[in-house]
Amino acid sequence: MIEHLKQKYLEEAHDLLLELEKTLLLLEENPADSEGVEVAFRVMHTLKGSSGMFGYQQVSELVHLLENGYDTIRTNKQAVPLSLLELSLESVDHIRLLLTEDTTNTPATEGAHRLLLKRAAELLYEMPAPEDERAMPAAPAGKSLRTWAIFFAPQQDMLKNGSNPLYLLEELAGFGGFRSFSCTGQLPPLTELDVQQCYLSWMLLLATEAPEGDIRDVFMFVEELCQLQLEPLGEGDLLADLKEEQLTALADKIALALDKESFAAYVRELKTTTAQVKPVVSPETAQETTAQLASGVKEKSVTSIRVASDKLDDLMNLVSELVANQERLSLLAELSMMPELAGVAEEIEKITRQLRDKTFDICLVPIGSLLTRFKRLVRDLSQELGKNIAFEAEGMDTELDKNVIDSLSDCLVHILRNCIDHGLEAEAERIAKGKNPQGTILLKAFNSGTNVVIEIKDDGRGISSEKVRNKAVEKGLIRPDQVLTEKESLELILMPGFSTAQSITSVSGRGVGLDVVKKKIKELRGEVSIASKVGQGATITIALPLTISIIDGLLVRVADTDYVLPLSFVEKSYSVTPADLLNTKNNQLILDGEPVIYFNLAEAFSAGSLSNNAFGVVIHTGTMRMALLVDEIIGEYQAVLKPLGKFYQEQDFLSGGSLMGDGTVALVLDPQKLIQEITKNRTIDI
Amino acid sequence: MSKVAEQTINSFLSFKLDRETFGVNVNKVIEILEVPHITKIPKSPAFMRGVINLRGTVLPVVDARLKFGLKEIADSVNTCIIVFNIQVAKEQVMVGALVDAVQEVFDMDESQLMPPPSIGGKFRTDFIRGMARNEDDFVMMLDVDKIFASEEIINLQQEVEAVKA
Amino acid sequence: MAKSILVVDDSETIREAVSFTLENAQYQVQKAVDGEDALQILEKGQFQLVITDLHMPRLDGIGLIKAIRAKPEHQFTPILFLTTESQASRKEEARAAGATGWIVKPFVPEKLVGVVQKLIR
Repeated sequence: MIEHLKQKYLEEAHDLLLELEKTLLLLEENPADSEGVEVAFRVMHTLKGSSGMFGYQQVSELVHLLENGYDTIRTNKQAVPLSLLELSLESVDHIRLLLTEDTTNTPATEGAHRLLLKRAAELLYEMPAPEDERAMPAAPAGKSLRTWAIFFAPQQDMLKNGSNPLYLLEELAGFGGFRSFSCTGQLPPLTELDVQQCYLSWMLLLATEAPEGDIRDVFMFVEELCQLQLEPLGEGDLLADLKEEQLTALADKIALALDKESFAAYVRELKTTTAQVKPVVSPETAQETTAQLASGVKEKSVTSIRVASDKLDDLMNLVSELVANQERLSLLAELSMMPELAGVAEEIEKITRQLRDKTFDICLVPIGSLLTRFKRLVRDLSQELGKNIAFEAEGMDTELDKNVIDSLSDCLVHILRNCIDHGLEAEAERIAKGKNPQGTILLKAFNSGTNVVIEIKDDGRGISSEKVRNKAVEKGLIRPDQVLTEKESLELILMPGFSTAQSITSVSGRGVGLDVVKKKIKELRGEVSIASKVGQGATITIALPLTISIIDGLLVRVADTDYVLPLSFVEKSYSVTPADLLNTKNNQLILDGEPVIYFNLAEAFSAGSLSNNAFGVVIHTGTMRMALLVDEIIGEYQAVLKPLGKFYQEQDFLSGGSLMGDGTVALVLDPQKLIQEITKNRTIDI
Repeated sequence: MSKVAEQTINSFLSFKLDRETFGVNVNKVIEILEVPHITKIPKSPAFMRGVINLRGTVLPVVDARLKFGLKEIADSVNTCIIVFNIQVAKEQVMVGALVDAVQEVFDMDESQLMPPPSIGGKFRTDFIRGMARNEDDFVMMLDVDKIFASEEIINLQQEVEAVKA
Repeated sequence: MAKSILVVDDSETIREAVSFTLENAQYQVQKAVDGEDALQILEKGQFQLVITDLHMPRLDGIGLIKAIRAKPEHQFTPILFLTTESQASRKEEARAAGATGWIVKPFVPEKLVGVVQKLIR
C-alpha cells in the first residue's frame, strides 16, 4: 500500500545522497567541522529510516553502520578520519547503485555490498564506541497463560507529558482477563484538588498469554514517570479461582493504601489463596543514562517543495500563451478607444509580466547545483590517476534553464575528464617543467549579453594546433593543403572521429570524443570554442543562449510569415523602394550616406519577390553590419521562445518559434547564425 | 473460443491520400485538427509543411502526400491534420501529418494483415506493415514511427540537398 | 469528529508514509516540514496529537517538543517522536523535553496505529 510512495522515496533518497556527498567533500577539506558531521549524521539518519521502510534493507544496514560512526564522532567531538570519509563516499556510489537495481541485486553488487559492510564494521570497531546501546530486557519465551499482579503508581505529574493512565489500563484490559483496583488514598480534599495532577495508583490483575515484554511495552512511554512492578502470580488464569468476596475485601484494602510494600503483601496473600507458587523473573528496572546535551543542529534552509518538471513545462506553456494573448488584448484595447478596456488591459499586462518573470525564475537553476558532481569527479579521477589537482569554481550562482542544465552536465563532465586525463600533467612532470606541482582546473560561469558563458580552464600541457592538424590530416578529416587558422586547427578536435589521446585510458574511453560535446551544445543552440597555449594550458568555452526566455524583438513580415528579430541586434530601419535596389553595386545599399551590405530575405527564403514598400532593417553582430530586406515592419514584440523541435534542427538560423495572439507561429531569427548561413552560401563581393 | 488467445484486435484510423486508403493504429493518434494557418519554415524540404500552434507548443507538420511522393494539390475542406505521438530515438515526439481526408475507425485482428506487395508498389515498403481488407477497400497499414523517424527525415533532407546541388 | 494529528518530518517519504497510515486509520492529518513550520501550523488549528522527527533543520525535534510544551494549551497534548535509534540517551532527552512516547522507524503500519491509539481515543 505504501508502494505509491516509493517513487517519492527514490527521489528523496537521491537528493539526500547528493547532499551527503556534498557534505562529505566539505568534510574532506575540513574533517573537524562539527557542523558538517551533524549534517552528515542527520542525512544518514533520514536515509536509514526511509530506506528501511521501503524495503531497501541493504541501504538501511549500510547507512546504519556509517551513521553509528558519525554519531561517535559527533559525541566525542572528533575529526572524521579520512578512511571513514573515503568509505562513506564509496557507500554513496554503492547506494546509488542499490537504488537503481531495486530489489534484485546482481552477484557483483551483492559482493560489493558485503565488502563495504565488512569494511564499515572494521572501521567502527577501531573507533571508540559511543555510550552503549541499551539492551532491551529479553522477554521470556513461551506462550502459556499466566496470571500477573501489577503495581502501577504514576507520578503526580504524569499527565503533563500527554499520557493518560486510563488508556493504559484499557490497553491492558485488551490482553485478557483483567481486574483493576484503584487506590484513592492520596486524593486531596476537593478544594485542594489540582485537575492537572494524577493522585491515583493501581493494583492490577491480568491473566494473559502475552509475554512480560508486551505487558511492559504498554507502559513504555511512562516507565520513568511511574512506579511499576510486575509479579507473576502463577500459571493459568487464576482470576477464575478467586472468590468475589476475597476480591471485594482486597479492593477495600487497596483503596486506602497502596505502595511497594503493601503491594508485595497483597501479592503474597493472593499467592497463598491460589496455592500455586512459582515466582519467576524478577523485575529489573535499573538503567542509567547520561543525558546528552542536545547539540542544536542549526542550518539555514529555505522551505521548498518538490515539483515534477513536466508541471513546470506545462506552466511555461500556459504562461507563454497568456503572454501572446495579452499582447493581442493590449492591441485590441488600444484600437477600441475604450479607456476602461485600456485600463484593464494595462493591468493585465502588468500582472502577466510579473507572472512571466516569476515563472522563468522558477525554471532557472544555478549552475552550482552541478558542482558536487564535478568536485567528486575531479577528486576521484585525480586520485585514480595519481595527479594533484585543485578544482576551483567561480560564478556558480549563474542560472540556466533546468532543461539546459541537465544536458550541460554531461558535457562538462566529459570536458573535465579530458582535462584531468590528457590536459594536466602528473606532479613529477610539472615539477620538471618548473610549474606549480599542483595543477588547477577552473570552472567559471558568467552572463554575457544574451548568453551564458561557461569556461573550463586548465593549466596543463595545452594543445598543439600543429599536432591536431597533423592528426586530422592523418585521419582524413582535412586535406593536407587546407589553410586553417590556429583556432580552426584547434577546433578540429571537436570533429567526429578525432581523438588526440596517445593512449586509450579507462578515463576517457575509446571512441567518445569531444564531438559529442559539440553536438549536444549545438542542440542547445550554443557554441563551443577552444583556446590553448602549448605548455600553459587550454580553455574550452561554451556559450549558451538563455534558451527559454523572452526576446524583445522587432516583428517583421516576409510574404505571409512573421519573423522576430531580437532588438539587441537591430540598429535602425529604413524604407526601401525598388528604385533604391535598382542601382545597387556589390550588394550594397546606401543608407544615411553609408554603404551597407543588404540581404533580401524574401529571396533567400524563397518567398517570392519583395513588396514595393519594403524595409531594410540594419542589424549588427559583433563582426558584421548588414541590412535585411523585409516586406513589412509590424512593430516591437515580446516573443516567448519555443523550440521548433527535432524536425527543424537543420534550420539553425532560427532560434525557435513564438506563439502569436491569433494562434499562429512567428519565427525567431538568430542574426549571427543567419549571417553565417548567408556568407556560407554565397560570396559577397566587397 | 479457444482461438481467441491468438488474436489481437486493434483499432485503426483510416485516411485518404490521393486514391489510396491508409490505416494507422489509433494508439498513435492524439487528435485530428482542421488545417490552421501553417507557418512555413524557410530552407526546409517541401514535404515539411511548417509549424502550427498546438495549444502552446510548436507542432511540426508533414505533408503526407509529398512525403509519399504523390502530387501536390491545394488543401480542400476535407484536408486535415492527424496529430501523432511517435517515438524517435527513445523520445516521444508529436508530429502532425496533413492528409486528404480522414475516413473511419475500424477494428481488425493483427493476424489478418497480409504482407505488402513486394513489387510494383508505389510506396516504400519499409513504411508499410502490411495490407488489410476493410469491407471492399484495401488499406495499407503504416508504421508511423518509421515514417516520421527523424533520421529518415534528415536523410530525405540530405537527398533534397543532393538533388539541388 | 475525527482526531487531528500533526506530523512533522523533514523527510517527505516518512512524512507521507506516516500520514498515509494515519489517514487510513481515519485520523485527520496535517503535515509540517520542520519544527518552525510545525509551530506555525499549531497556531492555526487544533491537534490532539503531534508526531515529530528528532533530526530536522531549523528547529529540531527536541526544540519543537519544548516549544509545544511551553504553550498552555498543549501542556497535555501527547507528543510522539520518530526515532531509529535504540540509544536511550536520545529518548531521555526527548522525554525530558516533554515527549509522551516514541515510534521506532521503520514501523509497520499496525504498530504505528497501535501506538497512536495508546494516546488518543
